[in-house]
Amino acid sequence: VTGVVAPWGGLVWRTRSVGARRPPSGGSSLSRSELARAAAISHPAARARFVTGRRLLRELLLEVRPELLEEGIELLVEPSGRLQVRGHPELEVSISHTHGLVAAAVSTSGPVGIDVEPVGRGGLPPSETWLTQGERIQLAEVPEEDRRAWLLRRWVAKEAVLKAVPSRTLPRRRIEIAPDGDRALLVDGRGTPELETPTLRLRWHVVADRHLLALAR
Amino acid sequence: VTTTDDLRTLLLEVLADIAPETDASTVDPTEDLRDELDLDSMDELNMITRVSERLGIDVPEDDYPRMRTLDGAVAYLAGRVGAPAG
Repeated sequence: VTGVVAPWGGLVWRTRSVGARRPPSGGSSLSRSELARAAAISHPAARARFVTGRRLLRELLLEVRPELLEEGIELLVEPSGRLQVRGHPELEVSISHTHGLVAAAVSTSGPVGIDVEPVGRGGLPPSETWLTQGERIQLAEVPEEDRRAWLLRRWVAKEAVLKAVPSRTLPRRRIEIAPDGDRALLVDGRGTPELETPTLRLRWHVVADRHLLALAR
Repeated sequence: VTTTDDLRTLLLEVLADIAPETDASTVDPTEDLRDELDLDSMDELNMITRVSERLGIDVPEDDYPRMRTLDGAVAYLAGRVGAPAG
């Protein structure tokens, strides 16, 4: 089991290897609807990740709000894919799954997004399909040998940001990650920052030297 | 002329390339491809990019959710390229 809890102003997060054995815990048991959803997932690895992710999220919720053990946890999925905890609009949650690992985050101080990818992952989509104009200019300055890591960092950051903004259908080409990777801005189609939207902050972790994880809030 | 059968074949070819460890031809065409083939968001964008390149169309990100199932993707692409059934 890999696991980290890092407080960041009302935020906790943790990762777990898919299929890791955990002691039984009533509070982290999946609901009937979640079990039905899991049963409908035909690919075994995808099903295992779903189950591990939901259990991990439930454990984090119980750490943040122990009273949920009595009350029960019901997770709702909005049409956009965003998860909510029924009856607790003050709690924001996010889950990320990748090959062999899931990550979950719970925030009591505003929206949060989490994303995780294997450090060596390649095969990123063509940059023009998901980088802003400004990022493509930055990319041209990045030495060839550093490009894959630079691109992966942008991808993970944008995925985390997408989960932290209210509209998860925001095009990736409208999310610009700052050169130092510590914040993200929303930009319009011409690359101009949208001043009325807040800047999201990013935080980075490398999990067990194998996975790159970003948190956005 | 590209038919809906051609579009289905194209999608299966692309999916077989993106998820070679799985058998895309056995997916339930009404279920979410991410669950059927263990795809993630990067795989999804790669699939859409390759299909749109092959068809010479641009798929806006707002339309990505319409391509989450095999049947949905065929129907969406058929509408975009004016493909007849068959």
